[in-house]
Amino acid sequence: MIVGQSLAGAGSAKRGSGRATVLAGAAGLAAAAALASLMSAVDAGTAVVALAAIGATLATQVALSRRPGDVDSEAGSAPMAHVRIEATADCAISDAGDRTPAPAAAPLIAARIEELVPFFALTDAQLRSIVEQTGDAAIGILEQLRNLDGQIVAMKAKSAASHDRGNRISAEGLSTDHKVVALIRNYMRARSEEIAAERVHLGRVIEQMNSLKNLTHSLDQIGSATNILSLNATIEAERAGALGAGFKVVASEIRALSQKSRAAVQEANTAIAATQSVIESTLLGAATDQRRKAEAEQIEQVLSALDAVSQSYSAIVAEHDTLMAEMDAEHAAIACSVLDTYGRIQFQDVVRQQVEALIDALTSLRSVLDSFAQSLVGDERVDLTCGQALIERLQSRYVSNVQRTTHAVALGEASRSDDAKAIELF
Amino acid sequence: MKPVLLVDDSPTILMSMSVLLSKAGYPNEQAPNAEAALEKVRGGLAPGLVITDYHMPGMHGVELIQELRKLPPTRFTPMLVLTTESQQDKRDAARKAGATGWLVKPVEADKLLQVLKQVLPN
Repeated sequence: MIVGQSLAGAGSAKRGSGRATVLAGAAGLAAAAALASLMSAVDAGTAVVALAAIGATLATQVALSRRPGDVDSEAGSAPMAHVRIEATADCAISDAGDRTPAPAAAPLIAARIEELVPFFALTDAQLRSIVEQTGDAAIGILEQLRNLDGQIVAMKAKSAASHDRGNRISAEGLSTDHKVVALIRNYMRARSEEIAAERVHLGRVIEQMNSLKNLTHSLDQIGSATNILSLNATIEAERAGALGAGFKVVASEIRALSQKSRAAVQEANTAIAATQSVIESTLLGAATDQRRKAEAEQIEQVLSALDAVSQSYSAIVAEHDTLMAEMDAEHAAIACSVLDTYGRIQFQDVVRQQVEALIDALTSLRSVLDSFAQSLVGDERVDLTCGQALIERLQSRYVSNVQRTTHAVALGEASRSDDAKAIELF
Repeated sequence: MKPVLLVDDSPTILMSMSVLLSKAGYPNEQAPNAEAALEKVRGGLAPGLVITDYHMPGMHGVELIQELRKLPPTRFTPMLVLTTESQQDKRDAARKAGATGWLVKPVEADKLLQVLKQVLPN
């Protein structure tokens, strides 16, 4: 924008130097304005300023061609050189028949114009370089975008795989957790039933042991009765004298047997009492109940911990799902931006075509100046192109409405509004 | 799916459009000018859609459409002109030549893809 404004100023300054200069200046102005439309995307400012300088150079050359005392054509007097240039500006084709002799300064002007050749070559090269640089940059951006896009796709795939793996692990964890809880609960139930059954069984064992006590008591009574009986038998054997000697021996043996029997019963009673005591104190005692209660409580704690783990799994899965949804949204937004940039990169092609139109305009301008130079040194076969033709040629190279609008604005013409749709299906 | 034939003298346009179409699931072929595009079709390429620039060195986009309409593989193929140009007389010429639509650069990616959905058979 700044470039366009400064060029507009340069164009105005030239208008007092003759119509040819005005038209040349207008061509430069149009070109400059079109260049200015590239805005900050292309650093064509230097080329534009240089282009505008051509108009100023022309003005200087025309001034040089005037003789002392010449007045401006607009004031009514038309010196030779000035008439010459003005004829050019009016698109008059040079004609050897009415050609006015060239002024003495004409060869110098022609030489100066010739000196502009490197300038045009330079400007042309600079503009082409701009096209090339923006093209390379655009391709570079596209390649970077493609890489970025590939990374996004890969990242998304990795995230999705990670999400699936996480869900699977969580599901497996939950499943295992539930299985463990179920196993423990089943064990607890079975264990509880076993304990109850054991208690019943042990109760029966103790009952049987008690019945054994009764039995041993009976055996003890029988032993005692046998002992008394053997004593009585011994007494009766003594009374019988020699005839009771054999009976006395049997009675003695019966007595010894009854004593052994009573001793055995005593031992059995002691053993039964000891076993009963062990069973009651170890398996049916309060300490055993307490231990079993503590065990049940510990198992309940384990179950609670497993429940907490299950809930944690569920919370982790939910958190992971939320995170994945957010990442998916982020990925979608980035992918959308990348896609949008693919479309917006077309801007480079729009600019390229505008710059190429300017390159063509510069070539035309150079051709015009060459014609001027040749005419100044008296080449009678030269066809002189007027500024208007130059503008028309530039105009014919426009490829977009942006260029046409810029053209109209630069020349103060009414800008034709473009109602055509950007997208039209026939 | 038949490929989209992209014709543009700008490498930037060819590359950006190619990536854009590929991402949207459209296979595509590229030609840097009208003559190369004709050569591809004559060589056996039967595109499902042609997207061509208007201003190109050599034959311009509407001339390309005229020529493609003469070839059996592209006689009834949808053809879009994607160009910086927006002049009505050129649009009219494109319509007469058998173009399906006219798109002025730069076209936003989502709008371009919408157009593709409209003009491409399912």
